[in-house]
Amino acid sequence: MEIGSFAACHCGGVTRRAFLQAGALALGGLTVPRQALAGETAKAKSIVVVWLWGGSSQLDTFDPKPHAPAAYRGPFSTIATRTPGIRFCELLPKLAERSQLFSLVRTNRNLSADHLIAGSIGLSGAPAQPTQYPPNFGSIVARHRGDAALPPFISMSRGPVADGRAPMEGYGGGTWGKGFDPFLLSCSEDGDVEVPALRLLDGLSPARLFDRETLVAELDEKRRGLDSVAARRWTEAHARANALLTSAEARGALDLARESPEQRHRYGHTSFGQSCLLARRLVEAEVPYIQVNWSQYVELGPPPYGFGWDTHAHHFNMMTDRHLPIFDRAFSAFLDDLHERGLLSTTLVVCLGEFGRTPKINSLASRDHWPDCYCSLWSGGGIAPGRVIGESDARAEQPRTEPFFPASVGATMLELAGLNSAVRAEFRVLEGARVIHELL
Amino acid sequence: MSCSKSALSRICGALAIFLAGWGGLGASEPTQLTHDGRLKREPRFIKQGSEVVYSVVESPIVMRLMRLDLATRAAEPLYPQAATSQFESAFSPDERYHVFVEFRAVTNVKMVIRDTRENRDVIFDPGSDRAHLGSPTVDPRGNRVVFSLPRTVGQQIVSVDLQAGNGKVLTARTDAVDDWPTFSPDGSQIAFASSRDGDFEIYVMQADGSNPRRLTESPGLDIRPAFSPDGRQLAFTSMRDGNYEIYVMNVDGSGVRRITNHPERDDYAQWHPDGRQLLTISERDGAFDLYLLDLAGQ
Repeated sequence: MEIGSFAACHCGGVTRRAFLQAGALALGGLTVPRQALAGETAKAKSIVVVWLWGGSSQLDTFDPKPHAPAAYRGPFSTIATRTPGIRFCELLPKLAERSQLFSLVRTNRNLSADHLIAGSIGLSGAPAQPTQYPPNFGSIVARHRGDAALPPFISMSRGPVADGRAPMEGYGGGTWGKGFDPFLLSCSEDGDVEVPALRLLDGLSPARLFDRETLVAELDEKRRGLDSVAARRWTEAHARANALLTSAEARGALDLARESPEQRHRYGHTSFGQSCLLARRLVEAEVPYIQVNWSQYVELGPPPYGFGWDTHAHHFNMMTDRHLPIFDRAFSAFLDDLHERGLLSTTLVVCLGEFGRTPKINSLASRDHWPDCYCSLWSGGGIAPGRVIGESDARAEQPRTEPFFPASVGATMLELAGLNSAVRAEFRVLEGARVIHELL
Repeated sequence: MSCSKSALSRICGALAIFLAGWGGLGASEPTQLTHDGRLKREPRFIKQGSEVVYSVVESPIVMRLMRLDLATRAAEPLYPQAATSQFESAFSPDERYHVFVEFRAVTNVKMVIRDTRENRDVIFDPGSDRAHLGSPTVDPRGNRVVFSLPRTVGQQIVSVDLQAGNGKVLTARTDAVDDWPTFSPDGSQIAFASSRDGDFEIYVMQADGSNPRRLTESPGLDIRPAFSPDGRQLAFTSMRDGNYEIYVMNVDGSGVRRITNHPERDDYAQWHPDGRQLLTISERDGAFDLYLLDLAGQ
């Protein structure tokens, strides 16, 4: 069943109590009262993960190899950055100009070349076991910061991130339960915010949402058409979404119309650009963990897939026409905006995908999956900027220096969010994982 | 209707900045043809320059072909019933044949050669699994479609007839990526971009693939060449000055001049059939729209 969707920026407001209910529901009643402690020890009040779902090429972004053979280096030239000796792909000029705002890890490594497996590991730090699905880093932070006013883990996507086969297990709470799943929002190129959970009601409009009598009647009618499990799931999802959207505070955070036209322009009028702008507003609203997904699906293809980073074909065209210019503009604007507002020092921004892409160009003049060596970009809360950590070999195939696995990515994020090794041990997550101290 | 002084000042300021962005155009002002701001690609003039067909990102998951009437500025879907993304259009000189690319499945495209007179499609199928092709263009003599196609190594320029058969490879097998072929008005030459010498540069060859010559030599990419209607000039996109800008050069590579100069993106140049105007897709204030530039001041 699909519902209609609507522009959140048109919504009316309600009470803070409803908002708090949303936060509690989002945590499934399992919150741990650590907020004060976290606030005191965290260098990062908020974490924003920009998730390049599908896997971006390390060579065509942040680790170009201009001296590699043509079958590896690709058709793009390189440009200097503000970081001495470091060059980026020519299609990232804005980020090259801002390299003093962030640091790079060039030796990330994942354990799988499968999107769903690598994605789950990439966002949780560990592979799933037969009956154990580790929670997303965002779910861990949400559990730690559970008593925040807003939902503590918000993921921006048209639905749970997936590939053509299934949703990614590491998308949410895993074995901890759906109560720790992220609260989903999506944002159009026009800045209209949608709540996928509310797609259950056909034709739901803001006016009807706030007409309580109508809404209750709609809900009762809808429930009658569902089995008990579906009804319970739907009721919880709807309660969360409704509580969020009927809160004045949330309405403000989600309303991009409150931004100046100049700010809207700056990020670019693309879904990804406006999602980054929404992420900045959620940072201002002190949401602890925000995941901005480039796309719901990894694939390039007909609806519902769209235009993910999984460019087994069309790679260089897509990079030239679409992906890199959109990413360069939006992500640069996001870093600038956080920096100018004094938010970057308390906001950890991490940008990566589940893996890189094959250094050797494939038979479709494109690049396939490559988990052995890829890049991540780190900025803000607790990160020393302008550094490049790790070195890849001459073709960006293998790390020449220590590889950093997703567990280290997660441990570093959690450490900066105030979840030290003791807390991680108590939660039984990422135990023994090495924090990437070279970034700090 | 009233307008405050400060609001008027802001509008005038924005207009001044906007016009300053079209560097070197003298008194010529660009004409903005669309206003929806959505991401667009590959505009093509049809009907003697009175209409434009282009692809637009209708939603984050769909790209649709649109037709714009320049007189009324009304845009409508070219194929409203299309259920998949369609893009990269080209037309035969008499516009009987419309060639375009569409997603058939995940990471899989096909090329449609649509006979609009007979209402019949011929499909060029590059493969049943993952497959790619791109940038189709039609020989002005009306008998062949030229496009880019990956091969075992690299990506070459190839051609097929209008029945999608009798394929020929026009560029030699190399490790290079060759793309964006475009015919000279008389059909004797094809300009294209290739990475054979390092990064993307513009080349020209005879229509049979012989005698390729390099026309540009710049540190940034040079792509999407487009012949002027008189066949004497090529417009193209270049990153040589740090972002996507439109340039024009003579067909021998001499006389390169920059047409646009703006911190945002200018791309996909096409010549109006009158030879005096260039159509671009330009990003202004983060929004992508079609603009028509009068080259009279150049």
